[in-house]
Amino acid sequence: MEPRSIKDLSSAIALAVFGLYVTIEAARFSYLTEDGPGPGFLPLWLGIAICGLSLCLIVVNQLRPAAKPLGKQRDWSTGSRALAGWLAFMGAVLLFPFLGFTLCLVLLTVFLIVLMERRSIWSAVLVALGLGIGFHLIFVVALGLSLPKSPLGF
Amino acid sequence: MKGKPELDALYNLLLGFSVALSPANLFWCFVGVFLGTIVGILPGLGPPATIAMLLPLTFKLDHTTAIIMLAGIYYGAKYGGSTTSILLNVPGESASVVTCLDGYQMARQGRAGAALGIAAISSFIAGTVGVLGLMLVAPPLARFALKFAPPEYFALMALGLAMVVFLAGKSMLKALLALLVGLWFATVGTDLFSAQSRFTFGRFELLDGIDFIVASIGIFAVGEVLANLETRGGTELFKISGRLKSLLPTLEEIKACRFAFVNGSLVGFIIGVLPGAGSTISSFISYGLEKAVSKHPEKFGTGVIEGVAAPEGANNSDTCGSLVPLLTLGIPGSNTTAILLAALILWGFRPGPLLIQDNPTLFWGLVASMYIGNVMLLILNLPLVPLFAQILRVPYYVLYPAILGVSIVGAYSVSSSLFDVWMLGFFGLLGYGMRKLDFPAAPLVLGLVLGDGMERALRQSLMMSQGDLSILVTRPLSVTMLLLTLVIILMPLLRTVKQWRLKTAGEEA
Repeated sequence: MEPRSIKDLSSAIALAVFGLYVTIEAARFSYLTEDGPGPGFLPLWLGIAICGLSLCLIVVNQLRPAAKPLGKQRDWSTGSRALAGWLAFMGAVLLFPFLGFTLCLVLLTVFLIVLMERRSIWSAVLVALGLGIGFHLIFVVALGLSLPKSPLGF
Repeated sequence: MKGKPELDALYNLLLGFSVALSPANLFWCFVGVFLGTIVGILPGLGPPATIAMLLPLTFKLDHTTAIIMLAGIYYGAKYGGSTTSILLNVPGESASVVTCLDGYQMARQGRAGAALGIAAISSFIAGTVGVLGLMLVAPPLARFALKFAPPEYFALMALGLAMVVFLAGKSMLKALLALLVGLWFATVGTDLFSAQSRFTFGRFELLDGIDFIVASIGIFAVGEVLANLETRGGTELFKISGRLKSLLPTLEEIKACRFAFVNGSLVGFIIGVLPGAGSTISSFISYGLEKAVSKHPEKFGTGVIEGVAAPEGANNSDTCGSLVPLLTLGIPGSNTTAILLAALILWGFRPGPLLIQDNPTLFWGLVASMYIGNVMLLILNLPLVPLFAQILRVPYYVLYPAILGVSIVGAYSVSSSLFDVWMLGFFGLLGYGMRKLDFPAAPLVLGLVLGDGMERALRQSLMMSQGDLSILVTRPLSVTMLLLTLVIILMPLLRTVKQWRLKTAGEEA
């Protein structure tokens, strides 16, 4: 049997809170209307079911044998790199209206290669320019997609 | 003159081939399937947008030629859709989401070529079976589809949701929770019955709901990139095999996919006939069915070739199925067929029961061209497999930003809105979190796909019966599907009881 998991416990608690939110929010919508079920019908049952199953997950987890100390702490420390990557991604999206898609992709690529992968700036610039030009040619020029543009027009 | 029905079909098919094999039709058929393949591979420009853009150009073409080309784009896109799913975990179009589950895992194990190859072969077989279905059983099947009222649609959606049993992974509890969250995501937006906005957090962009393709690209592709960013130098993303032999599926693998070919072809065609059911459902159901009958169900999701063959077959056969209500009843079942309907009406045709009788050249020319188009696609796609597989040789530090770029383009082009790209980031983080917390992602996507249709069908059913739930179990088709759903849901429970009994018996002995 798998040992008790802090990950399962924390995710179940988070989901129970989320289920509670869905239930409370759904209660604001009408449950039944003259024509039949209202907009609150399904969300209300979904919220209740999410709460119920989250509690089941908590119970099942607590019934398992206790985990050995140390656990899997490494899982969370490696998560910081992923989080940095995600923040860089969101930062690039934030800059879209000002710098456009192509320039943001170039910057994101440089960040990932230089800061995350610790490779040389030259290889980063080369890859970033290649990707930027390639994406522009394929999606903007060839397919005519309208992607966010910088004031410079690309 | 009326002869035997089978002779009529043969005569008509010969007429169709005489139309489809004309040099002009062959050329435009090739243009259609080629464009379709490209559209399928590249996210950002789906078949509906491509067909809509090209529609004005077809006014100068002969109408039969034009419909041959437009249909070629439609089914060609289904062929191409698997490529990015397998290579980059980015679904090229919505029906290819299921292909990510095993296709991408095969790619990681150095079997990208085999996965792409089996996708092409399965698409060819299912596409051909689908055309046969369109040719032989279109009118009766279209009449059958008309028997589907909201209770039957609800039962079909419930059957689709029951597939969660086969997507569960280690924990059924977690899979159910993921499914419920997916169903909740589907409720976000404006309620179609009352026009009330639900869970929009004051954002007008959410009034239209959450786009399924944005969510799937985020969960699968961005989530995967984030997971691989955890270690510097990346995890060993792909094993690359240099041998050409391993770039294509082996004979044993093709043999192993026999049932998957049949399953994908039939499930895809039947579900395709039902207006509004959608090819995503058919690919999920065929995947679930394949896993249910497999000798090694526990391996699904780890890179099983049947897990690619079944959904890929289904989403191609589905294309032919969706043409049945369009051509025989004038009912479009999807965005793409709605545009094809508009095209037919613009050209002066009246899609409906008399279309085949009044315009045999158009209908049979299209049917014959689809046989030819499927062969063209196989010839076009198989030689490209080794070339596509080479993409995986690209170093991971080039691949990651490229995947993120493709994901952004795919999400942004859904409605040319930056908000969709923010949502992509949100779903990427969610996908990564689910991975870390061992929650399966596929049930969430399943819930998101089916949630809207299921709620609509349930509420319409209850409106029909003035709130009486028995409407769902008093109609033969609906009760049959609901019983099947119940059996599927109870399967893991029965398996557990059986294992417990065996264990108890063993201990007693």
